[in-house]
Amino acid sequence: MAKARRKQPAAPVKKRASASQKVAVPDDNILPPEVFAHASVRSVGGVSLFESSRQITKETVFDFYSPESLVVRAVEKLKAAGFRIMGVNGITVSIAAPAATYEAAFQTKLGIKNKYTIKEMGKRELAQFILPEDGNVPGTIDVRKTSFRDVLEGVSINEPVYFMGSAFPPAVDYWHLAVPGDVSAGLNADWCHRNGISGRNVRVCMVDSGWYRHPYFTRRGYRSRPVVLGPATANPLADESGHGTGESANLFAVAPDVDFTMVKMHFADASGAFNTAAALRPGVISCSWGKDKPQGPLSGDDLVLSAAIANAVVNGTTVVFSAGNGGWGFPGQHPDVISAGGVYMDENFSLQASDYASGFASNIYNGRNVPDVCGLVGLQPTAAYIMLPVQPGDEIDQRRGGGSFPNNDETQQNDGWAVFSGTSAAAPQIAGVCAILKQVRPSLTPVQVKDLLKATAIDITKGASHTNTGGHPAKAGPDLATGNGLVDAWRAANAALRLVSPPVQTFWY
Amino acid sequence: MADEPNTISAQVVVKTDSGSSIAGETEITSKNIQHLFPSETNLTHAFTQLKEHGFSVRRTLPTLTITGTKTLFEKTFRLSFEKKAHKSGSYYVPTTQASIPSEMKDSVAAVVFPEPVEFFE
Repeated sequence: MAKARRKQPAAPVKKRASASQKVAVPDDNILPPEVFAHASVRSVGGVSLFESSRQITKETVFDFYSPESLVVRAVEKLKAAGFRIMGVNGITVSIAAPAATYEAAFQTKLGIKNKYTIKEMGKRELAQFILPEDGNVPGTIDVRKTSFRDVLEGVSINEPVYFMGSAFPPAVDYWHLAVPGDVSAGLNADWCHRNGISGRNVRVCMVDSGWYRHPYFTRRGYRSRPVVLGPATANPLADESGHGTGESANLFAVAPDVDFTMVKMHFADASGAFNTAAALRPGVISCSWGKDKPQGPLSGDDLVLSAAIANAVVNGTTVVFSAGNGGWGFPGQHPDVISAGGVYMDENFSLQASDYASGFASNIYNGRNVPDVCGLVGLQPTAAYIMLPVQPGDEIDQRRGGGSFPNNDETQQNDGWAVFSGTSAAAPQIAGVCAILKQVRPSLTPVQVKDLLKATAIDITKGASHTNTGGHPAKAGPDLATGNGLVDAWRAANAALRLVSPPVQTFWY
Repeated sequence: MADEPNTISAQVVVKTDSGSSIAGETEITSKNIQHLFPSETNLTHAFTQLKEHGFSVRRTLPTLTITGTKTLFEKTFRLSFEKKAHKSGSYYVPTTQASIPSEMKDSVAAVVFPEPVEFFE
């Protein structure tokens, strides 16, 4: 008989410094400030989700649905007990609260078990699992002896999951731009970086679909503050669309050291999210969305958004909005914003107006031409041009993945990378240049920032903008296709340096 | 803090001391916003009233951001809503004009519901 082997204790987690600086690593034996879980509301089928002997499939899931009235009661009771309600579907309620709240509400005790698991990039590392003392099913809380027994059948503590995205993009066989290097080179931001100008200490807010902490960002040491939730949003750690995550890579390519905050917005409440961002008083706000407004009158919501933008600008925040991809972008045509259009750069650095980007004279604001300046944007039919990191399997990853270029991007549909770049990409690129200017000269007003960008942009004389907004040709001097042209970060930074009062930075050539 | 799903959010337009507001304008830019900025007294009054009615209120400027259940909006502002589908999900649209309760009429000019936007991907 083989001698029984003593079970080895879990290996201690070694604390190590990150590549660029020492970062405090949370103690794996301390519960996190908030614990996330799913509370299962009592099922119509009469059998608990956690105790059914049947597999839960699309054929059997109906037995686990819960009556709406019961769900409403469960939500009320959970809120009264101090839980945050993160989401509700027909079966469970997603909740979050400190461990003490769980322990008080469900008369249980939460503990920690560290187990080896495979994380991103195939690494086998220790992960923290939060386990309640009771519950027949591991990781669940038995509520039968608590005041929740009339509405809940149990609570399941979330387990950590790891996406399979890679910090490195997949290879595709067509001309495209890679972040950060190609975008940085195309906008002449590398010279700024060599001279220590990278947006440091400038707070930039993006109002977008969310931000997923992709290995691309963590591998390169890009830093972000916690996502701020705008009205009607949830899940601060997720970006179900992928749009915000991807577009933020454009910002970091130009200004890698900005103080970055994503304000997660709901598609049906952009005004509320913009207000939330403006309240943070950042130096720059970047927005890659809008409505199609060929003419007035402006609606109540348009006026509310106009007021929010105007107020932000009066308070010193530079606001950048995408011009649109064939639509008459609003608020991209608002006079107070920097309106971001599109220029396409090929593999020989040859530049032309992007036929995917809008260019027009506003019918709402007299004398207002769109765009002001441009970022790097792809061409028709789908502007599949810049390879960007996204949350694996999100909406953009799935929709753009698979298929052949140019209608699709030829990446996998769950690899955490997608190729897309309408004027959504231009706005954060230009926001990055704004951050560079604000680092060089923090006192710059939004008007001065816009004037500097326009005065130093590279004039574009080839190509034409989107036919939907007039198909205007690019020509010498400012035009409706590209405004004053493609932003040039280095020229703009030097122009800021030459302004009358002494600058903050001195450049080495 | 996350809002519950099935909550509705809106912007509350608060009056200036003279009674004007952004709701009465056709164009708002940095050139005229300062004349339309709500007074502190009216902001505080509106904030307090909205909270007392049960809304979650974010003190954003120049409009207040409120969230609440559909029922709360219907009851407070005598509204009805229609659920609309959008490629990004569904959302609620009021089918009637919001009626400002008498106790808020001095400070609140209008309640504005947001419209969907598109990401310029």
